[in-house]
Amino acid sequence: MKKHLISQFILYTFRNYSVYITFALVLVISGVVSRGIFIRPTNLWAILLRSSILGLVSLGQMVVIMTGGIDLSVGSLFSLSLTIMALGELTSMNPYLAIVLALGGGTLVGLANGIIVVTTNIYPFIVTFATMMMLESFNLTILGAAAFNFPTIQRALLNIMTFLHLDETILSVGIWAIATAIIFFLCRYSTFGHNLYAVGGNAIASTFSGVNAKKVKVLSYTMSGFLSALAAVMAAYRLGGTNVGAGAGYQLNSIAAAVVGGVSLYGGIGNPIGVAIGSIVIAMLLNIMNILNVDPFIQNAIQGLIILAYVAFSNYLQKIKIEVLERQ
Amino acid sequence: MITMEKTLNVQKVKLFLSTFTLVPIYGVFLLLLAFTTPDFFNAFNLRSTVTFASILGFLVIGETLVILTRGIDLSVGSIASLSTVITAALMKFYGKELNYEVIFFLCFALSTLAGLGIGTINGLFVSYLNVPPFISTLSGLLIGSGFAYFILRGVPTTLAIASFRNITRGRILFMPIPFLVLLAVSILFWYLLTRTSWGRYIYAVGGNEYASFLSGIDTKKVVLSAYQVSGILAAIGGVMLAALSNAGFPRAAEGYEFRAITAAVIGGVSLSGGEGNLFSALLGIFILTTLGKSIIFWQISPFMEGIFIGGVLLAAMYASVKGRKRR
Repeated sequence: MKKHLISQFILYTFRNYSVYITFALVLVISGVVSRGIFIRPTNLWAILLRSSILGLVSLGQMVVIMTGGIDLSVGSLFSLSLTIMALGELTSMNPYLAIVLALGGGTLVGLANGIIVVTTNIYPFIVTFATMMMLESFNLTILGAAAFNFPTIQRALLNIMTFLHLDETILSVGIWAIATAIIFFLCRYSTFGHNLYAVGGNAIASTFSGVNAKKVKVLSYTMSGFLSALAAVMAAYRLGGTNVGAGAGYQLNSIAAAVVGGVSLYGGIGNPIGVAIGSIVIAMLLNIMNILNVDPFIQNAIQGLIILAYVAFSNYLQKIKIEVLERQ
Repeated sequence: MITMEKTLNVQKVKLFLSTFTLVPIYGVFLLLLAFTTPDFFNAFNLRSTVTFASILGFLVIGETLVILTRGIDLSVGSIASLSTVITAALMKFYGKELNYEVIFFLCFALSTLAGLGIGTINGLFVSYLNVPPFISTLSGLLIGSGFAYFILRGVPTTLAIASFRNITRGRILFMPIPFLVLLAVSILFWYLLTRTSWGRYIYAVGGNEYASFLSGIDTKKVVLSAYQVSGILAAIGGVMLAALSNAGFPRAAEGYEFRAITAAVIGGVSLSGGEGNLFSALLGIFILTTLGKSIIFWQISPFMEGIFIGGVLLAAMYASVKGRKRR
């Protein structure tokens, strides 16, 4: 009996605090392996900047996954917003207007995703996969194969930063923190947040109990679109330009950050704070691979394996817990 | 009993109709092409369309198998790209030292091994470790493209042995060799799917995994085998793609998983598993490839192909969801 309690306590801690445990483990191991380079302040700031952009995308991804869906189009939405800014530069539009249009474009495509998912009942990953394909095709048509710079947009972003007396990292991390806080309070205290959990847990049951599941889903995809576009605007200053592959990798990284952050891929379970820490964990992994001089081409493969292992491990933990409960 | 037989017959007729509605659609499409762009129908273009569609056909067969088990394989494109890179690299590094026959054999053998490896990783994680298929195969995609970039450092490389191209350019009785090979492979898999227990298990697992587990099928092994076969077929398609484009590079088959899925959906393969026909999926890839080619003939930017394919996928998916609801 005592053994049971101890094992259950360990499992409970692991299941509920796995994000924090993973975070601590990755931080300590990376610090040791890189002989301290990893935990220098400049490097930590760089990680934070990187995770702020990934974090915004992952936050949108989390909201969608919580409704039982998935958004594979976040990476191409990211590219789309950059393409719109490039178009603004190309047509010598007012840069601030271009930035607003970029945000609006991403939001609109997210809305379209949501509406298609809800009205046609097609699997979300097929819908967003199709959107991804179409957006990439669109970006390719506009940009061609070459890279494109947008100095006017960059200057406009710099103007915004000087106006606010903030530097890039602080602004980016600040917006990420605010977005996370807003979603956190939405999830905790608003009807929309509670509906989000209800729809993800059981869409049919929630419909019968009066939740407008369709509205919740459309809103979640729209949020994901907006947050991806916002991430692209935040990244635009540092990127200073765009190319066709600018958003590549965000789809899988955002899913990974959500999964590491404790979001269940089957919907209904998730926590914005966990996702924020999950994003930092993924950014740390990408960073430590660079510090250790892992071949950049092999990094992709390693990342894939890590994600697989993590999802499998968390599935395994969930399975054990059920068995322990059944035994009692 | 009579009524049951009758309903069975009705079902068979319905199945026949749903499978072969594609033929008239394809016919109408070709007629449309004949009126709008008569240039489309020259021998060279037809041959190249058939060759390209046949090569994609290998990916479609694998994808169909996986979808039948209620999974999805997003890694076929990157496995095919990896095979083109392996082919190009082998010829670059060993082209002068070994016999052509040995090199050709090695290209197929090593690519197949790589495909089998990635397919096994996908399958193991899906079946034994309960990872959702699209996550597991998306990681498979990353692994495949990672190695594809790694081997030749991302540089597009021309095949050092020019005669390798004859694999795709040769023809027997006016028919391109890839088409004949595809025909043989598809007949083999049609036989396996409909006449052997392995094939029936694939359908059973996709239809209801738990029920088939209870009736004594080793469902995990069956699912694993589907991903492995998909990996192998994608690799073979990749080697042929290298021969066709006379080059190997990591983005050679990027996005082809998407075409394979679209072709399967057009062909009426249900994404909820257990339902579908190999030959209509293959017809789907021929329709899709014809569409892709005709875009160029209609003088639309080839970059826009993705928009068209995405639209076709959504429309086909919608039709399939609607059709299933009504039944």
